[in-house]
Amino acid sequence: MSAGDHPLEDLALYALGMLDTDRRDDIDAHVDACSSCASALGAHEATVAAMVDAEFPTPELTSDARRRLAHRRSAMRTPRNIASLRGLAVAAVLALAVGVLGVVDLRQRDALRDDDVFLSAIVTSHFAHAQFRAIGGAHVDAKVVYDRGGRWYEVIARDIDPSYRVAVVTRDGAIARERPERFVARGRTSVLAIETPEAFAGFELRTRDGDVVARTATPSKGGR
Amino acid sequence: MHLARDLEQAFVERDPQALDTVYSLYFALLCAVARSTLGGESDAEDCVHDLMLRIWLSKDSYRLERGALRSYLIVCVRNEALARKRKAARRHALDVHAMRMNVDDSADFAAVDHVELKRLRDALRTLPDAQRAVVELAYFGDRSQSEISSELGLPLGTVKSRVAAGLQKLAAEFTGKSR
Repeated sequence: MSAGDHPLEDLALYALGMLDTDRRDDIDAHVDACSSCASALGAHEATVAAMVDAEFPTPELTSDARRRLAHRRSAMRTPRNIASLRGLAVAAVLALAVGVLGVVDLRQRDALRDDDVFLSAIVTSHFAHAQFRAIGGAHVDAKVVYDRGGRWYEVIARDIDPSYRVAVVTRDGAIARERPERFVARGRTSVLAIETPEAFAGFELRTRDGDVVARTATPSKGGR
Repeated sequence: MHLARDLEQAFVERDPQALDTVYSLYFALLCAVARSTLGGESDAEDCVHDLMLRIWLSKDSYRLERGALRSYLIVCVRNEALARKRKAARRHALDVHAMRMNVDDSADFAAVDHVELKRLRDALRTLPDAQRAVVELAYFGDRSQSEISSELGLPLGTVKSRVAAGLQKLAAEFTGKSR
């Protein structure tokens, strides 16, 4: 679909949730580049929102839902929370990486704060891990541990330049999207933890200039 | 209105305070939207949180020219919930007949008769029958365009044009009568 072909009827279908994911992605791409369609879609969205308002005039949260919301919102402020418990997470993932650990020690979990979502995620997820394979002459000793459900991943590496970036290879078009997060170095080990719903099919390690130095191989083992 | 625009501007600029405000203002509504499609409360909350995080992390996701952030989020949540529902249906290999039975018997359709839906019902009644049928199947029945096409025996193009015309007429109804 070129920018000149305005998918006017599909905009209404988009707003009503009638399109499949692929077609929605097409529309998203078009709307990003076409102001008139963005505006037309916004008008359709306003109509659907009015229908929703009529259907749910005064939605309220249960107290349980409020508690879960507070919990999750604190988890979305991930950098501070993850950093505060990164030592434990690193220990858990390191142990996993050398094949010592199948399940994170639950005694450690008991000692955690309630909002430690990331380490809890490791404990409660079905996860897998994959080795990075160096490209060209680079020396890379790194591994990614990730949730099979796609909610989080953690890259752990030894003796790498901590300025390296991680890029996510998406499932749809093998597009590598560079993450803004940075490695945290602890001695020879560097760790980068991400909690994200972003679907991923693989990972790349890149230099600050964007050169790819390693990619993940096929996932090897599952965990938990 | 001015406050809403300020919030949208702050959201575009990824001001963390804006995310807090959006959660405070819209979370209950967005969960209700997701729950109406997904059924379970925790599935609905997961859906909303995952989507909010994805939108927040993707800088190009919402632009001011798209219109109201609130409407954008409602449609995003609805689309996400529908995608999850359809994916789950495929995963469990539910046949089309079983899906129809489930949907036809669901509380969604029964809810149309609830007194609080009077405004929506009144608006839908203004549509010609042909348009109302496709809009109701899409909105209350969570059907895709191809499902409606095969269910009503209509070409896809006809489904599209009826939905587009129906939604446009509904917009006029909502705007003219109460907004």
